[in-house]
Amino acid sequence: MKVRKVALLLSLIVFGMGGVVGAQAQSFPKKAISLVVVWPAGGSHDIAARMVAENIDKSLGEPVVITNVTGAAGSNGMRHVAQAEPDGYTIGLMGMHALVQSFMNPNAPSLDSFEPLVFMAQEPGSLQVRSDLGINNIEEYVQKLKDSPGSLIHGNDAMGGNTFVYTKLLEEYFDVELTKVPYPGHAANTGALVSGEIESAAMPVSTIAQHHEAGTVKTLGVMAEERSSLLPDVPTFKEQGHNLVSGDYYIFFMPKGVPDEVAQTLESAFLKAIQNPALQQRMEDMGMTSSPGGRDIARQVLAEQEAIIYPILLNGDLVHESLIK
Amino acid sequence: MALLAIAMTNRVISEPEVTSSDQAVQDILAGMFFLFWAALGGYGLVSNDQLLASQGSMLSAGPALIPGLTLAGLCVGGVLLLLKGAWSIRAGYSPDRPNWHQHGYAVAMVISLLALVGSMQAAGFLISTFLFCSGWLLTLSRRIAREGLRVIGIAISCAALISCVIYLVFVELVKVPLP
Amino acid sequence: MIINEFLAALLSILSSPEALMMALFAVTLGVILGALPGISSTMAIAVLLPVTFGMETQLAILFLLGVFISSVYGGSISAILINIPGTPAAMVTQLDGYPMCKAGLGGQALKYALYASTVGGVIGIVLLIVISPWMAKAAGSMRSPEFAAIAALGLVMLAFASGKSPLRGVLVGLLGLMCGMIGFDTVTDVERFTYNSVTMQGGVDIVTMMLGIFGLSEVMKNLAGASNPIHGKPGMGNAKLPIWRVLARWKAAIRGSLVGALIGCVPAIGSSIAVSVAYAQEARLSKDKDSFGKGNPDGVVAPEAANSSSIGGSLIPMMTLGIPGDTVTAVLMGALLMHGLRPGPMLFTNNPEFFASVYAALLIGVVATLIVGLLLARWIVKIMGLPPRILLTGIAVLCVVGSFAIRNSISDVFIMVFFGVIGYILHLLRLPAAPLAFGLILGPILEENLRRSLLISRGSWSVFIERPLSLGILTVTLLVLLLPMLSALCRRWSNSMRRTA
Repeated sequence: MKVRKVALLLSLIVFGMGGVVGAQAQSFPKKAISLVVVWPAGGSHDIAARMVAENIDKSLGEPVVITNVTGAAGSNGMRHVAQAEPDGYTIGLMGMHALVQSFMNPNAPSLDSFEPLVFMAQEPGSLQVRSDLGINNIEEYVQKLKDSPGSLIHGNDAMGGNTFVYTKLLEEYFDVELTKVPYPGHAANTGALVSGEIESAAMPVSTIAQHHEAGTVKTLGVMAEERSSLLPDVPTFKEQGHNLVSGDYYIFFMPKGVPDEVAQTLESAFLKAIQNPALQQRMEDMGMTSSPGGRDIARQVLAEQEAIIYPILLNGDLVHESLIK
Repeated sequence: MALLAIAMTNRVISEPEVTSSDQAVQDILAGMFFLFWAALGGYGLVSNDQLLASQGSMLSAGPALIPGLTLAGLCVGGVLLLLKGAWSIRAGYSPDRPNWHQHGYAVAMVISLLALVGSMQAAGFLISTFLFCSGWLLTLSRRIAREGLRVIGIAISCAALISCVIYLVFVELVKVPLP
Repeated sequence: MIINEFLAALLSILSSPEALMMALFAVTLGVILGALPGISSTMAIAVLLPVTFGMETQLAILFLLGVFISSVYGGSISAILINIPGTPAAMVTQLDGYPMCKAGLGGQALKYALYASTVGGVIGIVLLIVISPWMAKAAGSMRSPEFAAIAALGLVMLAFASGKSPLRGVLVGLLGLMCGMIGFDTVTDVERFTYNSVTMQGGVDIVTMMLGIFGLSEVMKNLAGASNPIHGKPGMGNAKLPIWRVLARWKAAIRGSLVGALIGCVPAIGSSIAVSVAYAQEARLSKDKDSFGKGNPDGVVAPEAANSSSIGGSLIPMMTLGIPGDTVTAVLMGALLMHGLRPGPMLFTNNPEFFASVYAALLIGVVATLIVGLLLARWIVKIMGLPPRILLTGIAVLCVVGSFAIRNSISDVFIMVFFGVIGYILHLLRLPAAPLAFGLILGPILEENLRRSLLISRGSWSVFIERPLSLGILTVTLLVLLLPMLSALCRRWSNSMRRTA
């Protein structure tokens, strides 16, 4: 009798524990997840992250909270995620900056410390000039620069920024030289283009779309596979015979070492949120081409981007000596 | 450069005339203060090869132009202050013993804050803040009343209140991820 | 034409109890968040963004603008009461507001600030409606040389408004300038003053510095009294302020509002410069110069009017050109983008009713802030009646939490403590602390635009003189610079010249 009671008690305990453990394993996430954005609030990365966070809540059951960790051209936030516990509660959103900084700044974490999670969208660059210059297409643009190198004043991000990379791509492809003037951010850059301080720029489409419509600037080409929905009458570079495709990519990532099941949960939740049609529509309105993909696609995109960007940085003497491959 | 010279001259001319010996000491210390930072900054500039390389000629608009001018200004200003203080002192000077004790609490605050930050990472926000607040409230209450337990009780509950309110507002409302 | 739509939008808000509740709620939240040190207007809006996701666009605009306007006033509350500007826009309010509080006039200072903010807000809205197309065009033609000139003007005016000894003020300002250069240079991406430390690479954030030199150092100053560390904190007064006393300050309010709106509408300059120039201008024009920095109500009225009117001003480039002028408008624009609106030249022509709803929302926001501010004044007075030891401890913790909250980084807290010590030392050395903050803000603006202008003009410094607007601003700067020297020289004509150039 006593033995039976003890056995019953023991088995109850074991089952109870097993149940609790099982429940624990199934209940990721148990608390809010922190989504780290490396740029200040209001920018396109921040907006994209907030839109996704808004949609994810329902599937995960726990809120996704946006945390802006800014500074050092994005490296502060990258480091924050790299050093976080790989338990799935800290995720980040990265763009081209992460790649560039990892080669330029020895203090920025190398991309090996991260595990890409989900590929969200790409925001292609474009080339535009002020309308009062009388340049109507790429050929005229290139011709003007070949006739007198550096004759066009061009605005872009400081070295290592997105539009800087687009600009260098353009310069190398067409073998021309622009007079490059740096601006801290796309807003200032657009302002300078509108005020006439600079004559050409390589901004993402969404930033200058309405100025193009208003007639102040003329966009000569978009660096994407397909025409942008915001500027349907502007041809891509590819259409004009130049294989120039580049843009800022939006990839969610986590620190290396997150357990596989947690990663799976996150991956499917994020994918579901991104594939929400309302979100897709909003992204299109903002000029992003979205083709959501899971971990493998994200990894692939990252590798492709590295292959394109590293040579540019190397040629521009921007790679820190300790980071040369 | 000319603008800077004008500005400096202007400032010097419009300086108040008479200074007490206390103020003179303050001037000397202030001068040394600025010179210290000028030196630190100078070291930072000179030891930064990347910076020097991209500067090119001295006055071209490179990344070291404004820092250079600023440091120069700090040096000149620091020396001016030093001289002004020394000049006022030249006519006899008997310093009072500086009262170091008055800074006691201030220094204690700084040290305790550093400890607070350090312990926040280990013990979490609520606990370390609570300890910090209790510690300070008790220390500061000592002179107010000697009613013993009652004062201690009030201090502790206030400490708890402060910690909780700040936690609620910042973590729940603003969603700041305090450790 | 636009007036009709404006009135229609106004009416629709007023007739909807839901909208009015939302406005009051937004304003209350905004005042509280703005008053918390470490939470700037930008953060307040960013944090409350998710709340607006489900709302329809008009309501969302009303909500966010309400938070914006009220957070600017909220920042002044903590500036006056505890010497910590809750938002960077309040960074000169404490120069005269806090002395007023120490003298027992804190409640009155709050009321001055509130009324001044209301006046400024209304003037800003009026200017926004009436002359935004022209101002947009003027602001749109401003380029780097003009920005550099404005920053220089701001720096010079502030150096001379720094109280008795301009030399000390300028030197502290130079220190501030150096702090602004810590980190990556924006033009060439070279590291400066980083001493190979990761923390230094991130640079110094203005809120962190303000929390340190105004907040923590004030706590330290209070602690380091003589034997009894806690002097009795003077009463707040009863916060009663007869209207006629406020109206007597109308000149300062109007001047401040104009400065705020005009400077606010220049992109990339921001409200900090607007309030600084308003304060400095008021100090120079006042018949009672010496009382500035010691508790002159004009020193509260002018910058408060300026920071509220600069809200209207800063919205101009965002709405007419689609170019956000500062971080707050950047977040606002982001919020609008999320709701499917794209402010800019096309929106101006295509959707004038959007603009009308913005104007209406602003007006409601200003009025709501007035109401909420008046209601809260009594409660705030009660809170400040708490024993000083509780307040000091609380403020110390707030400084720590606030400095962490800006960039979610522990190193910012250490930087804050460092600046707290610096602020304390400055106090001991009889050096003014405010120029440190000014140098931090204005320095980078000046340097960046200076170097960019030279880059574009290919090294020719004459570009500053060739452009008429920049020439004008520089001339004013020179006048401000030379005026005291000329008058001092005249005064000293009879004395022996001991210090010659």
